[in-house]
Amino acid sequence: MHLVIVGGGVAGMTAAQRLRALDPAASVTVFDADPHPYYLRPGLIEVVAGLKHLSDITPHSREWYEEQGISYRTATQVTRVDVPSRLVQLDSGDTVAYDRLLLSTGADAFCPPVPGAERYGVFTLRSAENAERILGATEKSRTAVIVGGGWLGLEMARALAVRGLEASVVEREEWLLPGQLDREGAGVLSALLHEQGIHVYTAVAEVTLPEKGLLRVVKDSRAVTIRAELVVVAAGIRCRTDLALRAGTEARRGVVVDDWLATSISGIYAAGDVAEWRGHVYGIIPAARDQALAAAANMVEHGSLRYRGSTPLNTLKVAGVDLAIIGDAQPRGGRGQELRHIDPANGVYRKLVLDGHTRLLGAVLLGDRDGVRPLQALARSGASLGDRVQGLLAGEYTLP
Amino acid sequence: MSKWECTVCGWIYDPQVGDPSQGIQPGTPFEDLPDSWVCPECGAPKDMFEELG
Repeated sequence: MHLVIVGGGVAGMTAAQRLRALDPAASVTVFDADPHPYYLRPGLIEVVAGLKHLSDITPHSREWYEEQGISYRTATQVTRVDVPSRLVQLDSGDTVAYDRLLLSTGADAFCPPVPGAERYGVFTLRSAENAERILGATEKSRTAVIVGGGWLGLEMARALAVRGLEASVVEREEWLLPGQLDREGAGVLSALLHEQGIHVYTAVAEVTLPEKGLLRVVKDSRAVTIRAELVVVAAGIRCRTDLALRAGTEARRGVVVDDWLATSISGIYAAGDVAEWRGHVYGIIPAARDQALAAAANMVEHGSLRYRGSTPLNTLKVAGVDLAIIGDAQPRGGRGQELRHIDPANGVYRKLVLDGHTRLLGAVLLGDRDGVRPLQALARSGASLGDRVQGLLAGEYTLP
Repeated sequence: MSKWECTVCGWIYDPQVGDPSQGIQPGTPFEDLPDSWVCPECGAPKDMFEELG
């Protein structure tokens, strides 16, 4: 049995190790276009901050994979899948046979059109090479603007502030982290960022680069020009579906998979940032892992492990502030009942989302690390909170 | 039982909570986690964690 994986990010590497364990007789091969051996992508932000080297976020040497019985070929692009012959073609022209194929090609940084970007250049962060380039650019820059006030944008602002740059974040929506946080929580977060010297511009209608080192935004019909020797665009991801599309699998935003992570073509599976399951492209590590484990099981024995979705848990540290979004936090309201504890003086914001039976559907925690695990466990358990609600809202997590 | 911190992303393993996302029951010491266990936030393996004093 030849098991071939295209894409060596967290999904591909998780699947490779699980396939190795499930079928010791099979050959397991991973192809990855990136020249660096597998690194932990969330750690790239620490590389940009100058706090870590690439080696600090690289868990294993190339030799380790060979010792595990995984054939690992970096700097190798798979250019085509020959479905009838069950072959993949490499950029060298060689072909490799597969019995089961996993597409874990991940995602690229999405870069919306910014007038002037083609002339003056912008950075994105997705790969080790990107991180090293941004790090290099920080040597020559004193000011930076990050376009996009989501998770990555705020982490990037923190990293560049740590490097000593004056950092600003511009966001099109009315508040930061519009996908996760509500207006009240974002207000507390903005104040905390401001204290750390990070400028925040929200409700920005237009972004252009009028000349080198400057970025112009239009906000409330007024133009503001910000010094920006370094511009980083952090506007989300776009699934790398091209290989799958050329193979003929069904793809929408991502490569469409069923509950067994199977694509529309027999013998071809997909997992991680490239996969779209029941309309979701999660773009988070726990989902990539869960999907990879299910895909691996089904590649060895189809139908053996059903994927049932992943619970998003995102924790972010911005300028020393802990922020966690658990479950369905209803950033724009919803059917669940919302309870808030707002304490700007101490930099604490806590929101609980409950159903009609006081079961915890989701939560937002800002400046409250202790609550993350207990509230995540309560959200998972689906237990009724009953008279614990007020205590939890006040940050009392231990059972009386 | 000690808590352990991921050196890559700062996620903290609390043995009292375990890690439900990977089927780790509350009360499991870090030392008893299987070798296949990784940081649920960034994917770092066990040997990239440091014990918190």
